[in-house]
Amino acid sequence: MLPVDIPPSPALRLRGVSKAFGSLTILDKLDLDVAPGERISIIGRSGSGKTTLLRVLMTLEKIDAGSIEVFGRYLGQRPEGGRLVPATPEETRAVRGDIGMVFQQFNLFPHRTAIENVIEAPIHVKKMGSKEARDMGMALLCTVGLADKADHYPRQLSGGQQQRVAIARALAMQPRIILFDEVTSALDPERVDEVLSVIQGLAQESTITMLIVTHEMRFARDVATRTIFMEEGLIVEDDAPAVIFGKPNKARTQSFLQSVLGRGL
Amino acid sequence: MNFDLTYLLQIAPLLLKGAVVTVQATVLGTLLAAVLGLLMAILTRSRLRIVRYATTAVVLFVRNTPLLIQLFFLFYILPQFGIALPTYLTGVIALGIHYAAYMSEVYRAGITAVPRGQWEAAHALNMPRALVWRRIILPQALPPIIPPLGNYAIAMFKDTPVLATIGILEMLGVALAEANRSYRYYEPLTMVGILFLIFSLFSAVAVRLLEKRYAAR
Repeated sequence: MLPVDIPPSPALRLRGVSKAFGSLTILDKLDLDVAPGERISIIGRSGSGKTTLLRVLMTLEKIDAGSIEVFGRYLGQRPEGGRLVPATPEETRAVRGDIGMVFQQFNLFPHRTAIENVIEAPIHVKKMGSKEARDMGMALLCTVGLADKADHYPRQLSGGQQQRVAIARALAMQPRIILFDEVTSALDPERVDEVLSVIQGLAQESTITMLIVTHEMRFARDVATRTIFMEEGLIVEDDAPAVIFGKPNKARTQSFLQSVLGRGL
Repeated sequence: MNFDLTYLLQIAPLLLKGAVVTVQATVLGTLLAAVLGLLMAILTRSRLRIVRYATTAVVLFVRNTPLLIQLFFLFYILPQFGIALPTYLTGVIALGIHYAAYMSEVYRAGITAVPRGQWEAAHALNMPRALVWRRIILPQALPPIIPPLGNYAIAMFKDTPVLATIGILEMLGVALAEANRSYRYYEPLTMVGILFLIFSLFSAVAVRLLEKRYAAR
């Protein structure tokens, strides 16, 4: 029997995470626990702190206070004797390796082909052999339905295709947690579904932990195992998607959903 | 005073030898400036504030003092501190440092033009900073700035006559030496001017071609 007093370390454990830009508070003493394999959709108005939450997890922003643990290891800084001690760049890189991110603006490397974008980091960061990396990269491009575009440059691809390459690129580093930051917001409406279905497929076929910031409410409901509604840097409501989208408990969640959904999903 | 073509032909080999020194100094100076300039540009984006400030100060200082004074400083004053370099090397270093400061601004413009998202994507792929510079940022930053860098190389070429002041026998130095010997200034100096014009025009055409080639990107 397993000893019951050692719980498996959560994928993410945030305690009192705060972030302000000047006098503007973006994250307000946030607490959050994410179990491995959870898929969390994060909804809320612009400026509610959703994107900043992801950027903080990716260490693209430094937090002002609090602590973040990724699978039991402190990210960026750790509390010690009531103060925050910054981690060395090497320590941060070691922990950050568990996390991958897909951006609103794709951010593919324009001077590299699709396959080169995917295998760049595996080869040069993980020191994977180029043959091995290429095979893995092709398999990933296959997964996102773009095997035939492997040798195309980003400028030769549509927005939806670029975003799918970006997803393959993030997956190539085999993160245990993947962050999706409004990944369809920059796409033409007819290109949205191809990207969402790739993420849906990923959700069904892997146990990777996902944090998904999105304005696509139907997607937020269908893909997630849990939904968080944020407002003014706070988590207002955190529950099963069926609850949040069906019968939210907080008035603020209700009013948000009413304003974005109108008559329904 | 008449322009003596026979005399000109007589001194032409000498001047061409000087031209070789001029071109050499320009090529070496440009290489040094290109490397140092890039280094300065990268250091001005260091995470350490002290490094950023120190580099910015050096760039500011070099850009706002005359090349001639920098050259004299290296040539006359550095030896007093026990650093005595060969004359030719001193000249190349002066040219290199002076133009590095200008080129660093060009590099900076090229680097700033790379979207922030490129840094962030590389960061999200856990790439260490040196790798981000080498494989992601510089390959995008450099091609568009090759023409302006080339223009600075041409500017440096036209500045090489300052090397004559510390006794380097580049084109002007040779011409002056010859003029002092023969008391004829007309032909040697005209010839030097024409040679500069020819080299500069050819280089300008080369830079134009580079511009065309990289403009399409």
